[in-house]
Amino acid sequence: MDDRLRESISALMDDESNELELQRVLSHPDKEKVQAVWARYHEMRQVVRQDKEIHFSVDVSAGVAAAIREESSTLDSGSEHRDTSAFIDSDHREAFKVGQSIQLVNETGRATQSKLNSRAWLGLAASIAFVFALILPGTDTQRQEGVATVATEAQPDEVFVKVAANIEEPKVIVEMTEEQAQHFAQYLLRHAEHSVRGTQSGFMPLARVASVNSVGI
Amino acid sequence: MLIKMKFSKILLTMRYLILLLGLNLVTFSNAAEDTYVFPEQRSQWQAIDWLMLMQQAAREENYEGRFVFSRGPMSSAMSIVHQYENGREREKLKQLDGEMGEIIRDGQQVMCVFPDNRVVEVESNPLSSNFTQKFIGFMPGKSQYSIEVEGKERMIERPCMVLSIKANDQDRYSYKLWIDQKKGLLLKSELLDEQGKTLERFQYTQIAFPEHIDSSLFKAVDHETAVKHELIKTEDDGLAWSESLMWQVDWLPKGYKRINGKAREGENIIVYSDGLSAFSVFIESMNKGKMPEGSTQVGATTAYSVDLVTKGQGYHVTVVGEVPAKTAMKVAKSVKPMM
Repeated sequence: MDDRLRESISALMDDESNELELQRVLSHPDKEKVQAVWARYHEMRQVVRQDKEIHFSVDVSAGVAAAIREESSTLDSGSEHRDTSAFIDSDHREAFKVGQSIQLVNETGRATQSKLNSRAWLGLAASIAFVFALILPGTDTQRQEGVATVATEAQPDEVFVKVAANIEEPKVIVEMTEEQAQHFAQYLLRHAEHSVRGTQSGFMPLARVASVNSVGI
Repeated sequence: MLIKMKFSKILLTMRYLILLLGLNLVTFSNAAEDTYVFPEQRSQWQAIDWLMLMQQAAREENYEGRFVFSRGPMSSAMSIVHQYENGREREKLKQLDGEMGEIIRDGQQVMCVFPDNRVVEVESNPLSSNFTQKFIGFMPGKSQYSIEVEGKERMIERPCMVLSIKANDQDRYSYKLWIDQKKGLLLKSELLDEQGKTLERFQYTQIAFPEHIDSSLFKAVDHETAVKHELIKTEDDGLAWSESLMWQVDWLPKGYKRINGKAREGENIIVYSDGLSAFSVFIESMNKGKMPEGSTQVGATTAYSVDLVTKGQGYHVTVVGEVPAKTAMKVAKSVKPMM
């Protein structure tokens, strides 16, 4: 999966996607991978935001599908369309607002007397595709003992955080050459290799190395 | 059981006495490793017991899951598979986005496998590897950290004990840990700076504890398909100094002990830990391509580099670890050759 597709998924989640991005996501042949990235971005958003744990235990796919069917008939017959939000359990409605797919569903629900534009249709299709991912990965395995879910936002791959410096503070490296950055990554790997056995955190030192993906080794 | 419980209490009492007396905790911890017996009732457990269980679980449980690792503005989703079989640890970390590929650890050996089948391996150092093995059970000292059980919470549908580990000085960071009440595995952790700002956060989003994990999962890459196999050497090829030269670090934060190797001749990587965090001191010749002078930080990991000259001997020192930049700087500047 290329970075452009990931960016499109991220934009879709943030409700900032354009037609092209939406189509790029929807037309991707590997739906499972797209769904997996969608789910992961939600997980990451939850962790980053420290959101309250929310569980998507309610399958709204049938409701969304019904909404589309009804929307189709509305377009065909011109008859009134009922509020789609009625398909969503009221206890979970607030939770669903965090996901782009649900926002789209709600948009559809509000569009009771007007024809849907193409973007809304694409959004609806996206809802169908992704709502299953939101019901969440891994629930099919018996070995799994716990599953957390929900909401994310892709974080930029900004690696080097500058430390504020003054005379008494250490001098800060503002820029590194590619060679120096590679050297830095090697230091991290060697430090991790040595410290993985000396601390209480198990694989944490290795996770630190793995998270510095944009530096490269 | 009564005898065991009494023995465990004696061990704990001894541990605290030794801590109070400021004696070498490391030596004691090593001795305690095989004999540590947890209090029978978990309700009676103290923070140190949970830390001990956490360390044991990270090493001896089979587990697989997904987690999010955040530091600074950067977040990564990763998967982990960890196997413990016949006393041998194997684990595979896979970054679920990006180009990092996988990191595989098989016992002592760590290698990175990139999506293009490029393999990067850290050259193993038998001296340091054997020595670090003995440091299992190295607990953080009470004089360096205030450690307490803060309460109970649920994390990914599992009950957890929440431990608060606050640094007692400015030379190290503080921690908050969420430890699985049943298995002891660390499910979430936060690493905090002096102002309480989170520098690094780790959190499982999915976890399972299968009884058996297939060993074939840890196969790195076929030699036939590996396009390039690179070895990161543990020692600098360009060493310009005599082999009889030894290095000393004049300043260390309290509680940090050397956890790799013996002070052997010519060794140029020294690793220290206080039981929670660690930093490595790299001493190299002043060649081009090394880190420029100053500090760089990625989340909680700091790297500080400096060129030093002592008694006409020029050398490049880099300190890398989960310590504040000031600490890394003070350590780096105190490295001296012993002529």
